[in-house]
Amino acid sequence: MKAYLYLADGDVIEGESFGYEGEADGEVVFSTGMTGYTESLTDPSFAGQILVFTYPLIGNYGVPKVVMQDSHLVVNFESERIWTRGVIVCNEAAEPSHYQSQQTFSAWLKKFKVPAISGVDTRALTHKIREKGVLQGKISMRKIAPKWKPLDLTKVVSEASLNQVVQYSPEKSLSSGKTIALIDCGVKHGIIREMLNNGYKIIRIPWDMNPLDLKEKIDGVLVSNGPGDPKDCEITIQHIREVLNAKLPFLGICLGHQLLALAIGANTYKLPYGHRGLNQPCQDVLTKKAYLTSQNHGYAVDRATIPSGFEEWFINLNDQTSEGLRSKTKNIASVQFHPEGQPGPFDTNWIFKKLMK
Amino acid sequence: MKSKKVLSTQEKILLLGSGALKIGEAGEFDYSGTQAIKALKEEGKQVILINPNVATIQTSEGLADEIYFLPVTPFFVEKVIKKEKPSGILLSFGGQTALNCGMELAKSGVLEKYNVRILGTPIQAVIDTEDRELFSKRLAKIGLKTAKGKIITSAEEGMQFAEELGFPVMLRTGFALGGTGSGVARDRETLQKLLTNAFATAPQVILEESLEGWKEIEYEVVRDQADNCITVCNMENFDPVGIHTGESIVIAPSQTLNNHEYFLLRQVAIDAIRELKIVGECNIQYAVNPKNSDYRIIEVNARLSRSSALASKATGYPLAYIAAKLALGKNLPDLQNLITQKTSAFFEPALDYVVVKIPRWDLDKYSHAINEIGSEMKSVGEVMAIGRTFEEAIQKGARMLNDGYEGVLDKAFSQETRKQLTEKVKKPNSMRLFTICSAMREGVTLEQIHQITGIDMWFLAKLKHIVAMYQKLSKSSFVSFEKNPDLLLSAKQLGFSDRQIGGILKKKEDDVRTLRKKLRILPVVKRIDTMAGEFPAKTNYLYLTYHGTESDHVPNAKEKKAMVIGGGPYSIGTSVEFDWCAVNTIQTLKKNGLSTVMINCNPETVSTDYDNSDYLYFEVLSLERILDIWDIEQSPCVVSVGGQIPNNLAPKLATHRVPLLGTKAENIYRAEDRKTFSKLLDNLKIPQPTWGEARTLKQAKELAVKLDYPILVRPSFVLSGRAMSVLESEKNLDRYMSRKDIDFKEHPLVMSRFLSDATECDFDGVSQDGKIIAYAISEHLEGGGVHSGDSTLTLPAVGLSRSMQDHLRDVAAKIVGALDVNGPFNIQFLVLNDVAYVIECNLRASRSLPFVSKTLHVNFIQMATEVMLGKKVKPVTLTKLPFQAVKVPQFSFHKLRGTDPVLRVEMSSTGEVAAFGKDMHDAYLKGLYATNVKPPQKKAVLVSLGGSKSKLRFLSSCGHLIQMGFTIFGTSGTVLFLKENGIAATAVGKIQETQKHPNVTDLLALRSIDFAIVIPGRYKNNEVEQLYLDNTDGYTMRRMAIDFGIPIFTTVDNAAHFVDALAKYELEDLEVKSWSEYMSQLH
Repeated sequence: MKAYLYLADGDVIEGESFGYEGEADGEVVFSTGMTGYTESLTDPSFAGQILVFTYPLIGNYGVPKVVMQDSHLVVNFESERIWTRGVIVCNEAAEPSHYQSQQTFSAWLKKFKVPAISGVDTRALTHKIREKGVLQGKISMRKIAPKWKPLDLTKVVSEASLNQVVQYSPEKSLSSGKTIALIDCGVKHGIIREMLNNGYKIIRIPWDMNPLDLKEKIDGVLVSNGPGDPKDCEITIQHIREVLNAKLPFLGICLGHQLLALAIGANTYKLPYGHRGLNQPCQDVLTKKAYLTSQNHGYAVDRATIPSGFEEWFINLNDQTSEGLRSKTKNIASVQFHPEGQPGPFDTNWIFKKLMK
Repeated sequence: MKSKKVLSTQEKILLLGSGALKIGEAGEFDYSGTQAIKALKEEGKQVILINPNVATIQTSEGLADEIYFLPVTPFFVEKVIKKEKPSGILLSFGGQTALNCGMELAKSGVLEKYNVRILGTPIQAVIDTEDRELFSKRLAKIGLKTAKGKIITSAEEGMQFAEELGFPVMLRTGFALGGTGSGVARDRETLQKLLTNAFATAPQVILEESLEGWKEIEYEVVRDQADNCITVCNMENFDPVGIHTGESIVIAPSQTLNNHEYFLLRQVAIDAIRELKIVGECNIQYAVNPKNSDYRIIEVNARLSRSSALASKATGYPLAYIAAKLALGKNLPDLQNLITQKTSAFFEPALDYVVVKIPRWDLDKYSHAINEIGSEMKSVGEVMAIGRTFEEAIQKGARMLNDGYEGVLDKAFSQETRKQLTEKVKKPNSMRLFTICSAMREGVTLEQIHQITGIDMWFLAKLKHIVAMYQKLSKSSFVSFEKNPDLLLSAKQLGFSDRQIGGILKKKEDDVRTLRKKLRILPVVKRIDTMAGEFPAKTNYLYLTYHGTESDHVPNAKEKKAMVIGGGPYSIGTSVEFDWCAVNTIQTLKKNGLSTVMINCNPETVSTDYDNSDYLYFEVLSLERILDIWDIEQSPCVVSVGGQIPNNLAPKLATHRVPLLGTKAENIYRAEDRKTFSKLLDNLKIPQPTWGEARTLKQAKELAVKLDYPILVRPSFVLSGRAMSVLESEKNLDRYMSRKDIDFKEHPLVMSRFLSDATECDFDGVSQDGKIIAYAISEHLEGGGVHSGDSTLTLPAVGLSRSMQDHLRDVAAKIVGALDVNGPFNIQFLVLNDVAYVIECNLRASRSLPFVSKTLHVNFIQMATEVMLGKKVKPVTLTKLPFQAVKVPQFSFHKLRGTDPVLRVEMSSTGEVAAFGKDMHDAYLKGLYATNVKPPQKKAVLVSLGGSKSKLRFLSSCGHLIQMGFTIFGTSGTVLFLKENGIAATAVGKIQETQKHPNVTDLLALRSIDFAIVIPGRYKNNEVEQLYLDNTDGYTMRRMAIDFGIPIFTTVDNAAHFVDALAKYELEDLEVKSWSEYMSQLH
């Protein structure tokens, strides 16, 4: 079946439908990762977005069976569902090959009612996004004249957050005896898994809950990744300020990095086309050591607005944007990238160890 | 020649090259060395290069400060160190040759003695990666897994160890025994049998866990001295473990690893490189269990390798350049990504395309070659194809091989039945890909093929798409495309060529092209930018695809450009020399203010480097693709510098109105077409060996009577000069004509009088408007019957009189005048009894062009290019050379089990070196020591001279051997002859005389001789004499010498010159002079 991607600049791209045969609206973004489509699609930070894969062959190793580690914790995906609203690829592998594969990429997309188009010149589309910035798009199976309403993505964090309190305990042999409150703005399960591997007990709380309201004693706060504009999370920013005042150790990841920045008085801005991929180089400003990181974000912290008392931790070696912050005196830090990888490299997973100590 | 104003503060760095091209060590090291030199020069270093490979770019002017065309052996390297006093040495850019030499120099204390620091990876890391046990131990220490295994010395020990490992187990025997007896044992019983057999002939075997059926994956890893690490690329082998990665189709990036596996292996690679403390680049190979993601590290190569060259070309990441910078102590984050010129070199390329490498074999060029592929490398070259899908890339790759395949499925392979094909699939050979696809066509299921081969279903499913389309096309009609253009588009997207489609539908290639263009089914240009489009890039690196709607590259119509067609894959007869020509052409075009377009498909080249041309199309060298590029670029084309592929395309391109620079296409054809050229020679009254054509045995016999034996035969218009032979009798002719693989009605047999005992010469020149403006005459050391590519070339010609040389020049002048040559040309002459016969003329650059250019210090290609541009070029007058240069061939028989190392009319060498010296003997010794020969130490030699002529010819050399104190061992006939002539020699038993000691086997196996001289009695040709050659003593002796690594001479000319040179010079007497020192004698 033919399918069409309508873009807000008037362009129409034709291809073959290989997902759910329905419509989808979203922000069209691209990712340059060559593996990890199952991890990417289940990453809640993609809520509200239509994802273009620059790598032309997607679906090669199929989709594995879901393995649960705990209730509300998946072992082999980043959440329980697909978050992208649509998927665009050059070539879909209809005959996957992997011992873990349980269904095709196409079947999986259909299951979650996600429309998808193949046979697209994704490189040309990527160039367009690079030049024009992220665009609004609509996938449809029909020839239509789309009426463009501005996308409202202000509520995506509340959609992506689980909105209930869940506790996870590490294996006894690993336990550090410490408890961390995890503000879930759409957390990737990889972050929870990494924290558990490092022996922390986790209390996952909704994005708009104040961790200081928890009855349990907590030893630190982690603010997760999540979709959308950090400035839409005013309440979370307020809670972070309170956490900082309470002198609790703090770690922010991705959106959590941007929220920390806003909480301490720095500013954020929208990148023209974001960083989405598994090969973003970051450098520790102090040690000059470089790491390869996994990233998925559309907003960035304005380096010029970082207040005194804080210092830059990492910067991006490609475009010199902010990749990390830390307090000069306290155990407060944040990173723009995903130290858990998944998809992507684990060069920086030592960050989970180092913090909260 | 070069500016000698080098500041004394400049640090001197010694760079070791890899020498001649050989199987397993080919053109990739020209790329890596050239990049290293550029990186070193940028950092203000003075570079001293030792590399005898004259055809390389790295040994060209304007790169290294001093070049030594000397053997890369500890003896000569020490001499250069002593003379040049470098402070540092780079060992990782010249393959295993440079690494081995470096290790020896380090172990023997030479580097320490002269205070030379090894730059980059520390020597201990190299030693540890080369030693299996040390390697496993070191990696196990940090929890990484290597294949479990050990050396076993008895059957009991083997059985015990197998229990430890668990079945199945893999048993390996040593190489010298031909690897026979190796195998997989699934149970105790089988292993017991294998062990018993193995220990009957071998003192020890290796027993390891079997990784049969595991995926083979490689990563290219980079580390700097500050411990920053990246993996630039990973690659997946089409075949599972068991087929050498040099013999396997390789795909980048990996296709069947999931994210977890991909990044787990990446982390293991980084952990390993950190543990080993490698600084620069290394390659790590894995086996990955397809059933549970378990892995084993197979090996780590602590140097640039063939895989790293491929990774570099596949991603656009300049690995060798970066590795050289890191060796100097630079750090990755401080270096720029040269492709974007904005972002950092510390990153991992994201590909938005698929790369497929396919090896190029040439096994049918060898007598006795076994066409089976396995754990040893036999391929002589490779191609790299880029597409947006696997199907598109692999079909391109099949065509790039230039081996007669139009795609993975070809009519030419449609004869075999399902049963035959299934059997063939079981035994991997050089036609594996094509066999598998034919089997699919015949209905063998993917499951079955997977069961037999272990090839991942992913690859098989993709190939099946192509097969299915082939079948669909067979059932459709050409006219239906008009109504259903999507079918044609789908076929193009699956990588079908116009010719392939035309072949299926019985239409001409041009008809398909015309219709396709009418239907607007056109390829688009995509750029390789290392970042998948995330950042704007300035790269020259392009490919074409049918999976696109938009081109990345839209040419500027005002830009003045010229297009150069490169040489394609390395194969026997097409080697790095054509890359040298292509690169020099590009450089000259640039110097003359033109933008340059390079088309090539060989990843082992400098011409495909990111910084060579302005626009690089990594594409198929076919008429269709070049016309596609012509449609886009509209720039005139150079066809005379890339060897036979572009030369053959010239007339077709001209027919399609593509303007060619240089000699007119019709004249290229007049030289190529045998009849036309022969007529031309007759008109010019230039002698040529008598010849004729025959389509039937009767015709051939009649002709043979006229010509008289021996007769040189070859089928006309057959690919790559295959099946050339010298026939000695009518019996030979009968047998030759009875071969089934050539249709002589379609490809008439060209028969010509074979002039034995003639002197052969190569006449290389450049002509402008039909007048010679530069030339060189090189004489072959070997008599006729040895292919010019296998010959030793001497310049100046050692045996030709001045007047004969002048005569040759006059004859050449007549020919190039008649053909109105504008550009390079090569004429081959035979001189017999003061008559010069012309055997061949090519209006293109020849194999010997880099050699003559570098010897005379006249860049023939630069002159030729300027001629092609229409510039008036000043003729060069040559003075007498005050030194001697020789070009010596390199053979790779040791890699090709079973092949007879005898030299024939068909070419078999894989590379060459040049050496300069005060005289022929000085130069020749260095040339030999740079190729297959080691300086004698034991003063013992085995001599077996077939035929009375060779016995007489070699008599005086035997005298020399005795004077030098050599013991001469010989076969009975030879010894008898020598004794009769007063030369002491010891007769030894024949191979089969196992009771008699010493016998030949003893001498060879115990390596008690320095070299062997085994001259066949008559011309031996694979085609004709194969049947009874197998059992001759000569063949067995020659083959055994190769297997035991003993230098062997198979022609009297070579052997006599070697012995005479030995008599004249000790090793210490040989000149150690740089190229510039020789060249300064010219002016």
